[in-house]
Amino acid sequence: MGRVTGYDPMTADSTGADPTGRAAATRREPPTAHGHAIAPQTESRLATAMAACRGAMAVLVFVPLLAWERLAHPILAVVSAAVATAEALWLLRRVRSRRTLVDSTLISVDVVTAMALMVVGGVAAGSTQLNKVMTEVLPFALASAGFVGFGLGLRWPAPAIIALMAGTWTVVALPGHDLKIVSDLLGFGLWYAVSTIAGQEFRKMARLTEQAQADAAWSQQQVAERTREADVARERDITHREIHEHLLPIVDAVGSGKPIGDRLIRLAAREADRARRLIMDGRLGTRPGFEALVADVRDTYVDAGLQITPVFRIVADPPPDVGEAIAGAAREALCNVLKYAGPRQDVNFYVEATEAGVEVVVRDRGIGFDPDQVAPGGGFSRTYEAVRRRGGQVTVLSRPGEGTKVTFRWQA
Amino acid sequence: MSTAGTLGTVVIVDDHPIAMESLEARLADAGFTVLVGVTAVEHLEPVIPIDVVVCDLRLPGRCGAEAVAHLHAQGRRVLATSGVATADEVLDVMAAGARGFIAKTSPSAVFVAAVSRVARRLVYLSAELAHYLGADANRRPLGTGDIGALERDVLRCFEQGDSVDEVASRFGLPLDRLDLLLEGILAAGTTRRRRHMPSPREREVMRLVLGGLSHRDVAARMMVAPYTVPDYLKSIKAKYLASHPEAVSDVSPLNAARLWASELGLG
Repeated sequence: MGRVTGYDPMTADSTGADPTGRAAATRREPPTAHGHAIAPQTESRLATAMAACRGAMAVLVFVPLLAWERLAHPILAVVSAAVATAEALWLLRRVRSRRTLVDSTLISVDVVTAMALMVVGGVAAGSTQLNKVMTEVLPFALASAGFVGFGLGLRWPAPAIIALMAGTWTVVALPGHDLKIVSDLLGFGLWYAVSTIAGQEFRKMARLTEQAQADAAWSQQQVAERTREADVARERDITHREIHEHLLPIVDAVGSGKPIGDRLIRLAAREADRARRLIMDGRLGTRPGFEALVADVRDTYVDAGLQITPVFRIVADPPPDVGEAIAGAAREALCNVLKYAGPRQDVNFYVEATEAGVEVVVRDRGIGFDPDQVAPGGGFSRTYEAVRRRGGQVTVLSRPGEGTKVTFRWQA
Repeated sequence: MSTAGTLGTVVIVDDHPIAMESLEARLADAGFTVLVGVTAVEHLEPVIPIDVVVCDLRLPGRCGAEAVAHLHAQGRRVLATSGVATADEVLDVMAAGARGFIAKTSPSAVFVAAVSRVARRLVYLSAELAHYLGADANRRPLGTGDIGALERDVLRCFEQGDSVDEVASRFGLPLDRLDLLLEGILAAGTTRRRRHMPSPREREVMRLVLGGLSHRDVAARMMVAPYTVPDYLKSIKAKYLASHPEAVSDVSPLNAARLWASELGLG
């Protein structure tokens, strides 16, 4: 944030103390506010509010013009009002672009304008209207004390400026009245003090909020990193175990140069499938229940040599007995592919389980058969019957040369 | 190298050519002109006319969606293949312009059928691809322009292993209608991908914040105004939450971007 003066209220009274009490050195990365910069926004809003205040006070300087006839130098009153208005507009523009009250030029211009208005206002009024005119100028001058408070705080030359303004006021206004002067001078002091305190408090609050935001972001990031590290470590463990226990024995067996038997080929196919799934989903977790059941069926027949294309969409488990009956029937259907489908041993194994029910399809592209040649109910074993007994349907579609499609459906 | 009298010209891009030798032989047997395979997409001469590029997704140099986008930009029709690609990778590859995806472990008869479809400028849906597209549609609905009930039922049949002819006869659709419908499913999948995955600019923001840069530095690197960086992060977070239903919804935009960036291997 670009500051216009060397004095920065954001850091002036922050001695590096961490509000959370955590030592900054223990952080791997200093927290920085990545979100909305609250301190500059607070500063900008303070500046806009004070500029609005200045505008309102400038309006009051027009009031003496109502007593045009009685003024000693009415033209001077017009000039005063014009100067006050011009200064208020200039100030608004300046805080719009600089977005801060910590601006020595702004303070100087405002204080000089206010003091000039006091002097010129006094002359314009003449001794008879002094009280009325100066009453309208006073708020303008008090707001100036506010700018000093917000912009400089307790720093030099703020007290001197306030003293100078109070002194000027005393000299200009003294001939007219005595008791009112006390409350006027008190006004300068109070505006200055309240602005100083308000400025400090607002800025401190903004800084604390920024810090809290940064701390929150930092700890969230820490949690995310820890989680990620834990994930990486777990995946590495799984990978090591898989390589060591499942792949290396096969590679070693091939490397030893011994003849490669059917058993090793089947083992290699199974482990290749396992390794592929590990790479694809990073972990070998299957949910217990129905998914574990059908995954087990799949593994068994990959093992046995089928080329299975599994598509599992399991969002809700069926009742355990239904799940077991369907898994058992699927096992049998896959076994039939192995035994009867012929040389093409690729098979689609589709499992969908939702709240609405279960649908399992075992689809091969083997030699097929003619259903008419198979006696009704014949050839279909007890496992298919078990599905039917639990309210499920079994459909077997086949044609010679076009493979076989076995569908198990169960509705919840 | 005349292609006259053949079903089309095919080349296989795979960094392990040995894995594809038997497939090349089967494609040649089936009537395709099979060019000598290459090990990277950059090795394909852009001037040689090829009907189908069968492209593995794990390659040196350009790989995955980038490799497919490169081929697509040259006007190539790509049949993507992999033994290990995740659903996200496959969907990205399809959004990059692939005409189909087939698991590397598929029998060569299935490969031949897939290559034939792509050679005939048609879409090839394997069971896996149908599953990925269907699951993506369920997880990230598009609203208007999304696929309807018929498309979902069609996808389901492909997931179960039905062939194009079987699906067409099951729904009583002429083949050309079904092919159009498949094009529509693919187009919706691409739209879905573009809407829910980070755009190239968003990926750049993610890569930079993962590297620990501040908003100001990210903005400077990307030559944008600093206030646009939080906007990028917000849209990244929205997409992250949409594609990660399990994520905590009060994750900060910055952390969402960082988590996703490391998940996608950016940075």
